[in-house]
Amino acid sequence: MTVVLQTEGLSKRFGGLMAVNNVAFSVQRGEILGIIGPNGAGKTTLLNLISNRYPPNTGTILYNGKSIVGYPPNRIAKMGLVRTYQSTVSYSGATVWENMIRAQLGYSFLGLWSEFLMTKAVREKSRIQNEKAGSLLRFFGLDAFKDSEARSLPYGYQKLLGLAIGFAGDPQILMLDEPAAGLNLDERTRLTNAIRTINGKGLTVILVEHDMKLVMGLCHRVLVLNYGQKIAMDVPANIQRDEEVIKAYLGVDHELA
Amino acid sequence: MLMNKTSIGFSKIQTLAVWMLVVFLFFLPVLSSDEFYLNIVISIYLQIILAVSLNLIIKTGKLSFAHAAFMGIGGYTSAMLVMRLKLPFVLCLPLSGVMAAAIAYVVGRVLLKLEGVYFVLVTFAFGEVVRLFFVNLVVPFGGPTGITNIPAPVITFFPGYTMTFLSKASYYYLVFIVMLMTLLIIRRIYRSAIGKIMDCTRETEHLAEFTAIDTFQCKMFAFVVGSFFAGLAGSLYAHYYRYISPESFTFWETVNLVIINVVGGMGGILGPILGAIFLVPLPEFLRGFVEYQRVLYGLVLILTLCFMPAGMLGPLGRIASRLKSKYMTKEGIE
Repeated sequence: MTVVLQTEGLSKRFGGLMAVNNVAFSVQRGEILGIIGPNGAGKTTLLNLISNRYPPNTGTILYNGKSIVGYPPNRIAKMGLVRTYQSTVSYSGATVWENMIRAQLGYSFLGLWSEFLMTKAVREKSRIQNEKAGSLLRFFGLDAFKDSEARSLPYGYQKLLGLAIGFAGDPQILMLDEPAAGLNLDERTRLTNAIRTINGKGLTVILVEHDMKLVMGLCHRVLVLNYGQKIAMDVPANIQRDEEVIKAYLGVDHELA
Repeated sequence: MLMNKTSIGFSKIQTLAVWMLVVFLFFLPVLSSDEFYLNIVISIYLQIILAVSLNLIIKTGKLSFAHAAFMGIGGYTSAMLVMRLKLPFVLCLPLSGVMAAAIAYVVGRVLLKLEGVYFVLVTFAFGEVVRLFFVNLVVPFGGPTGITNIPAPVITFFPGYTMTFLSKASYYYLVFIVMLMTLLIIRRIYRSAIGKIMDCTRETEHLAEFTAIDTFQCKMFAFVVGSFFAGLAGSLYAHYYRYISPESFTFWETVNLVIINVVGGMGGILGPILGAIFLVPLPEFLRGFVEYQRVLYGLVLILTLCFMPAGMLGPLGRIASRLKSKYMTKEGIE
């Protein structure tokens, strides 16, 4: 197993709050890593640090052995480390089809001059983009909504669209921020299957999620955060028995069953 | 299949209509040599260049209040180059654009890092700084009185054949051609992937950023190219009125351009074109009420925002799509 992503001593302070405190963890190629923790544990902040929405106060982030701290987000995405958002998952005013095209633009941009002149390479590229948009929509079961505005989609499909947008750039690692939040059982199953399938294609997935059942069923390993600190990292079966984790979730006085 | 065929038919009609319009406008000075009307049309063309190039910047989600300042930079550059360095106009026109673009590049690297209203405020301040720069530097720029006796453009088409663009009709062609080039270039940008990237940047910047779109580069591009065309318009303005002063390029000129964009509709290049055609002639026809021009513009702006939030493009677009669907069903029956 090779390590694709590794953090060392990662910390982020917001005023007096240590949102992420000295977190070290590593992600192995091809795994689904779950990140769980009570509200405010620093899960989303951790994703924001890795994708450099804001820089960490201290610590290193190594991606394929190379430090990516301070890289602009678009460059990190272009390197294959892509994240999705909890709320704004898509361009809500654009159609689903347009969303799939837009999702590919940044990765395949051929430079201002070529794009302006619409050279042969650019035309060929947009033909490939159209094909890919079509196959992505089929793959995620979104082709029925092709011409609908993204905001008019049922909530579950909006989340799927977000996943498709993240997947469109052929990432090495896809970081999903609560993809299942607010979904019903059906939608949740569809999403879980989609994640499992893209993982089966060799994609590494980092999953921030509240839903225990989903995380335990889907993830190969789970990282547990509490008050910004890493309290456990193990396979799901061990996490469920971990005393620290149970304490964090249920309080100190809870008797272990 | 059928839909495809007929929609091509419709766009063919559109293309034909646009070409007919261009040919008509090309012969306009021949049809009417009335200087009053030609002057209005030339002002409209200048405002179209400015409003569409401002639209390019707005398309990336940045509202620049320095657009008139860049126009001023272009105007002063052109006037100085022609009068002091005696450079030919054909060189000064593009150079004035390049000067505006170069300054936009330098200030853009800093200003475009600012978000939302801070960018608006700082571009406003920058515009004032530029204006005061021209006001206070009496030696090269003439101070508050500006530069007078700017020569009309002289273009040598080939050795032995030079033309002076002194008459309204000849100047009409100069501005017309520059406007057409501006529109073609900006339309091309809007239709390319660059235009789509601008939409992404404006609508949801962080999503664009996290799908590998370099939003800063996108904004820089729009700011520099938009300012380039503002510089061109400034040069054309200077050599048309043959007089410029810092008062020609104030904050209020930019406000007018923004109003043109809002009233016309900001969705594409058609909006600012319509806005300019509608708004620029208004004060000309209400000469007796010049002091009420701002009131009038304000009124138009308020009415537009109340009744046509998408600008004139809103209702016009609806009519066009109705015509389109009508046309397509007709075709379908046949």
